[in-house]
Amino acid sequence: MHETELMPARLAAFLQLHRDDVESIEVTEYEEMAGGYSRSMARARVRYTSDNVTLEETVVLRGDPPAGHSMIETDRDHEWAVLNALTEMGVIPIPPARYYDGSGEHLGTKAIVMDHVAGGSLQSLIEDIVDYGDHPTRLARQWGQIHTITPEQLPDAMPRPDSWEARIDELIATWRRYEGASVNSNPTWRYIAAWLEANKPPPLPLRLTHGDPQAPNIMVDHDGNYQVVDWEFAAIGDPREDLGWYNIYSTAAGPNLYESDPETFLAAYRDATGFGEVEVNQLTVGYFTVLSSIKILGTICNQLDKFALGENSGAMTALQIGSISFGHDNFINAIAGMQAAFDAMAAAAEGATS
Amino acid sequence: MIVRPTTAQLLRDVRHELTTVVEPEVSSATAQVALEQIDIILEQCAVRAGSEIAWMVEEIDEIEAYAADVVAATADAATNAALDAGRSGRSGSLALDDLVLDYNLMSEALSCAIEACMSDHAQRDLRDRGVEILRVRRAERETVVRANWRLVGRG
Repeated sequence: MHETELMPARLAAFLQLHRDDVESIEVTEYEEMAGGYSRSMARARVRYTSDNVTLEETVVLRGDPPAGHSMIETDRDHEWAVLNALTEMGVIPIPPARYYDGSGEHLGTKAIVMDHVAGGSLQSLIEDIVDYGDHPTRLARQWGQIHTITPEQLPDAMPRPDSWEARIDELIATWRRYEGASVNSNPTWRYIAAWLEANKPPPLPLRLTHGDPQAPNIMVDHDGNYQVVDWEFAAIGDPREDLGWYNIYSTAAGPNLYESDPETFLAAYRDATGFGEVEVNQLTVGYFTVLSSIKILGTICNQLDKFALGENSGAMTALQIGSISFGHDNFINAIAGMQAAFDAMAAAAEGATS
Repeated sequence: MIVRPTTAQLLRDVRHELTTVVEPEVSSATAQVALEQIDIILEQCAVRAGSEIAWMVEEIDEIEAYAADVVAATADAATNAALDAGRSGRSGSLALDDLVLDYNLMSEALSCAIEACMSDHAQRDLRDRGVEILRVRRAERETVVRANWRLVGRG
C-alpha cells in the first residue's frame, strides 16, 4: 500500500484471485486517503470486464502503516475477524468487508479491502453546523445498537473477561501497566488508577464494544444512513467504555453530541439498550470517560516511548503528546467534579441519617 | 555562544517559512496534513524550549517538600524509598538529559505519596495537595505546551 505507483497492478492482481468469474480487472485510479489516523487508508476505482460488459466501483483499502511510523499498534487479523462476524450477523450497519491480505504478500502490507461508502463522515457533516438535528439521539441509538450484541454472538477468538469486575480491574491495571513500562514516570496516571479503583460504578452486562467510537468513524451515505467503520479496537467489555471514549474524544475534536444535551442523549441510549438510569447516567459516563481512555492512550504512550528510544518516528506520532496531555487536563478536572458530587451525596446521606 | 535569536524564535521562524513558502506549493492532501502537524509540533517545541528546564526544577523542589510531608504524616515505606531515590539520584545538573532523569525519579515519589494518601482517608488534605501539584504544575503547564494543538486531518 505504501508504494502507490505499484498499487494499481498489485490490487488488480489481488482482486483477480478472488474473482475468477471476471475476465479482467483493472484499477484505474488509486489514491491515499488523509483521514486514517491509525491505519493507512486508500481509495481505488476498479473496472471489471467480462463478455464485453464493463462495470466499475470504488473500494477502500485499510492497512498497516510502514514499520516504525505507527501511531498505534493494532492487529489486522483481529479486525478482519470482527468485520467478518459483523458482516455475517448483519445487525450493525457496516461497509461489508470483502477480502483480506493477511500476510501482506499481495498488497505490500496486511490490508483489508472493503466497500466504499459514497458520502462523508458524520464528523464532516456536523462540524460546520449549529443545529445537529436528530444526530445526537441517532448517534446514541447507534452506540446502543452495538451494545446489544452479546459475547455469545461474537467470534471465539475475541478475549472474554471472566466477569464485569475482572474487566474493570483489567482496565485499571492497564493504567498502571503502561505507566510502569513507560520511559516517563507519570503521577497523573497513577492517581487516576487509584481513584478509579476506589470509586467503581454499578455493573452492567458485558457486550460488544467498538473501542474507538467517534464521529469520524460513522460514515453517512447519500441516503443519510449511518455506517460504522474502524473496528480495530473492538472488544468485549462494559458498554459504557464506548460512551466514555466518545465523550473524551469528542471533547478533544468536537462537536460533542453527548455534551450538547447529556440527558436526552442518555435517554435515547437507555431506550436502545434497555439499561437503567442507575447504571447509565452522567456520573457513570464520567467514570468511563476516564477509565476507558487507557485503551487508546496506552498504545499511544507505548509508541511515544518507542519514539523516545529511537524506534519510532513521524509527525503523526509526535502530535499525540497533545492527546496524552489533553487527557491529563480533562481527567484531573473530571475526577475533581465526580469527587465533589460523591462528597455531596455522602454528606446528604449522612444528614438524612442524623 | 550565540543565544539570541533564541531556540523558540528560530523554531517560530521555521514555522513561518513552512507556512508562507512551502505550504502554498504543496498540492497533495496528505502532505498538507503533514505540514499542518509539523507546524503544531514546532510551536510546541518553541514553548517547551522556553520554559521546560525552569518548570522541571521548580516541580522537583515542590514534590520533594510534599513527599517529605507525606512520609512524616504516614510513614509510607514506598514514598520514603522513592523520596530517598529522588534525593540521592539527583544530579543537580541543568543539562536537559540529566534533568529529565532527576524529574522522573522525583515524579515516582509524587506517585507514591498520592497513592499513600488515597489509601488513608485521614490524609484527605495531603492528598488534595498532591492532586493540586498534578493540576497546577503538570496539567496547566501541559496545556500551555499544547499550544495550537488539534487533531489535524481527522475524519
